[in-house]
Amino acid sequence: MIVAFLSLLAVLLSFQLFTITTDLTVINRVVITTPLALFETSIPLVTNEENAPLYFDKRTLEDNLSIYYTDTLDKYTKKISLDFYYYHQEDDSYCIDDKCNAVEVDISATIIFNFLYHRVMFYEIKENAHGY
Amino acid sequence: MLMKNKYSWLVALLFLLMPLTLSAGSINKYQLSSSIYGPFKKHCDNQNLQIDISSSSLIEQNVYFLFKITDDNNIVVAQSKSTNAVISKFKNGKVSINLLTQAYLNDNGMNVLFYLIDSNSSNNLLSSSFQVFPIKSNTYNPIEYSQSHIFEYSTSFKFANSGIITYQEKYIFNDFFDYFLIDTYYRLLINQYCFSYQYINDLTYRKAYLILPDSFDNFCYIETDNYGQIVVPLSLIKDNDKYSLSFPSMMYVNPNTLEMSITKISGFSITSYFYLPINHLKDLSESTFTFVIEGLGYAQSNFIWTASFLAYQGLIGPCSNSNYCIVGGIVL
Repeated sequence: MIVAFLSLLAVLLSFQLFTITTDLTVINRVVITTPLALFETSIPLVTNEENAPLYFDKRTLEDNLSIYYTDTLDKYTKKISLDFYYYHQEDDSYCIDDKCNAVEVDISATIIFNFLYHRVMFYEIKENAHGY
Repeated sequence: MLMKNKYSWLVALLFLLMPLTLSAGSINKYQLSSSIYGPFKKHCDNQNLQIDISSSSLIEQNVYFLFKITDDNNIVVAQSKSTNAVISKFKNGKVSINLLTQAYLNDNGMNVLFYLIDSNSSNNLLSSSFQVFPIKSNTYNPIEYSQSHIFEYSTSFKFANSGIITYQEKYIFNDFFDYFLIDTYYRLLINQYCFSYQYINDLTYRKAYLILPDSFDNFCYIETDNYGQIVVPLSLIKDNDKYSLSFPSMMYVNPNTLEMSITKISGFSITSYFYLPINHLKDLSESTFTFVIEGLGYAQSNFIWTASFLAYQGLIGPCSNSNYCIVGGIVL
């Protein structure tokens, strides 16, 4: 009886571990393969300046990522939180103004109980010099 | 007393010779001046010209003008005589004469020989000739005149110095290529098309517009004209002596899709740039844009040219073929 109970517990634990691992894999894959289009569409294109450098619209970017992660990770996590750290590409210093072209996204997701998934990603707008 | 008698004959001789010295000693020069006349329409009413005449002669002369209209074989077909005027170094004269435009100003222009004649001696004091043409509308393709010029026929003139100065409308073009070559698919820039204009006044025009390609429906917010063409009104802007095309200073753009509208639409942002719709670089590539400027200058000429669209790269996208790209990764 005890053996049967332990076996059932082991099966349940294994299943749970499998579920957690699967969820972690999915969450990790979703986070790492976040579509760059979400960042591209966060860049304001309409400006009255000539040859102005591009930057992220903070509100649009945060909304885009929040909606995306909520929609895609809803099945795999109970709670997800995002923190954004905007910085200057030149020296990694904190970008305090509205026109920042680099961001670190700190993603935390609660899988089960207090088991957390945590990952920090960075995204930068790079200007290419093709020499055309 | 003896001394006085000795030189009196010399003084008397000088008095006797003075008129001869004054009349024949130097060649008289005649100066003409008038306001600018023209441009004229074909067979317009006869134009009454006012010409001011001055002379370097101390002696007064009674003069008049004679216009002779000649045909292509230089045969005089008509002539017109002015009023008389008395001129001297101290007295300027003004004559009035009819230019017989009603009968003789046709498409081939009008050849005019003019003479300043001394009415007493009938001597010809001054003569010259000029040609004047009526304003005539032509249609040009500026691409054919890239780095060159268009000289219209002389349509205006004025009397100056001892002759006449004619004026013709001139268009001098910079590079006018039959393609738009832009580095980045983002905004449509049309100020590359510029030219200078020379005439008696600044350039005027009736209407300028751009006909957009209708191969896809991303210009759906821009109204079509009576012929179903997608048309954006343009204006000619003068910068120093150059004229260049410009989009309206106030247009509207969808900030998300960069679709353009000339009229106000809710949710669209005001802009002075003409944006190209997102993700249609391939669709627009080598499509044809047509520029039209109607009623240019006094001749009311038209410029029409087409240009193909060529863009090297998108604004944002893959790093290999875009001006900007997003790069990202994991912070370890």
